[in-house]
Amino acid sequence: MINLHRYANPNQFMRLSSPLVPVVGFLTCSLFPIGLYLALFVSPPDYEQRETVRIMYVHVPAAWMALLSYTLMATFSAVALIWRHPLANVMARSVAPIGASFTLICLITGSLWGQPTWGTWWVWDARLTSVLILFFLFVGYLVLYGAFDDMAKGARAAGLIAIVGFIFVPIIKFSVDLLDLRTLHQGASVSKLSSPAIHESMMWPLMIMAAAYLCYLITFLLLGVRTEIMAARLRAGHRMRAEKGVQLGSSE
Amino acid sequence: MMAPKRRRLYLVGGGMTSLGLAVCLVIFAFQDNLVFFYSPSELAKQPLAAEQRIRVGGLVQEGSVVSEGDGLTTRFRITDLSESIAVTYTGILPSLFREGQGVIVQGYLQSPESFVADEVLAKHDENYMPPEVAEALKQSGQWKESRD
Amino acid sequence: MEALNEYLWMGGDGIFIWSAYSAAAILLGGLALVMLVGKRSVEKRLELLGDKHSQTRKEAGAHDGP
Repeated sequence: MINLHRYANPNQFMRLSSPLVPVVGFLTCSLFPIGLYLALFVSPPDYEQRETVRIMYVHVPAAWMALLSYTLMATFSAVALIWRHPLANVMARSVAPIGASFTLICLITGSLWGQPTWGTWWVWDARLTSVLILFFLFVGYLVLYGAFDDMAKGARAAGLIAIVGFIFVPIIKFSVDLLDLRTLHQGASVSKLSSPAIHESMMWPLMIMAAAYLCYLITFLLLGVRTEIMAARLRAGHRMRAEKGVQLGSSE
Repeated sequence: MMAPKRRRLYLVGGGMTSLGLAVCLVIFAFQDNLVFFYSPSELAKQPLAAEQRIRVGGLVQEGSVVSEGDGLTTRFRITDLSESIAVTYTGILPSLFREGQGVIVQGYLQSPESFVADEVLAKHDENYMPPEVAEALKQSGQWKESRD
Repeated sequence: MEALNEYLWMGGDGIFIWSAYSAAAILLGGLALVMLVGKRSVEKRLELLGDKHSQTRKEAGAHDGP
């Protein structure tokens, strides 16, 4: 097996990620304006939903990225729990607020789309409810992570929540279609290869917005981990100074 | 003696597998309750109690929509192309409501053949396209309804 | 002006569309801001610590920092 510990080394991470952050940051900053321009000005109204179809361009990528964020969070938590990699918990913790934001965006924009289209802000169908549960899993993770005085204990408890909750991700993604749980929410359009369920003129803005969301996720995941590593160094530095201060007698 | 890493891996893997299995079984068992709405065929097969608040989903039957004199009450039939049920609804209909459109109505069965709805939701399909394209598809006869 | 108003009106659904885009912008922008501010503050404190650190080292005769 390859030595994953090499990449889990904080110094190594700082060195490797430092040229990456400006690149993905730049991509995020350029993809969002392009995507928004296409979504708001270029893309046509839908034959049935009219202009409300434009909400799809912020809603669907948010849903995709929420699921991706959760998958990352659960994977990092499992790696932390099993292999005790020093960075895995930090990465899981950094992805959580981003994932929570994506999920909240998904819920809010979905509600704003549902009212004019379905005629309701919210229904308790299997699909919508499972996304709400996903949001609470993110929030629960974050709360639990900070709930213990011992950081390692909090990380482990939160990690367990993340891993157990991962069961919901395939449910959201697949069971709705596989088990024929009839829901108010329509099925996925992009996965249908046969007949293009989304017209080309709407597919492009959607894909570019999804790329922008993905770059946002990567940028702020890296940034968050870098901040955490620096914060750990800060704590270590303070501790060292405090120890030194005790040894030399306070110099200040 | 197993290495602690391997032991933890099996522990997490085993735990996830059994939890996943449990959830699958629960979903499978409660599948009927998780279903958001009934179809007219299901109602015809197994009549439900009148006091039970249920949802019925299907297509608005072509030519069945009748507006009552008060301007608020609408009568229409919901069909799944084999069975259909009469629905009465008082209130404002969603903008997507029309004949041939997929809808879900919520309310009570008055009799096995008639339903009083207090809420009408328009179901949207997973097709997204500009109006011109939809028009062109309809004209060339390639239009295919892909609703449940 | 007329054209702008009509664009913003979006066939009557403007309120829903603009609320959705604003919600997404506020959440993503807000999180980005919080994370950038957090990063900046940690960096500053780390610099401060490093300066003091190198100062004490300088006093002790070690080679200097930046």
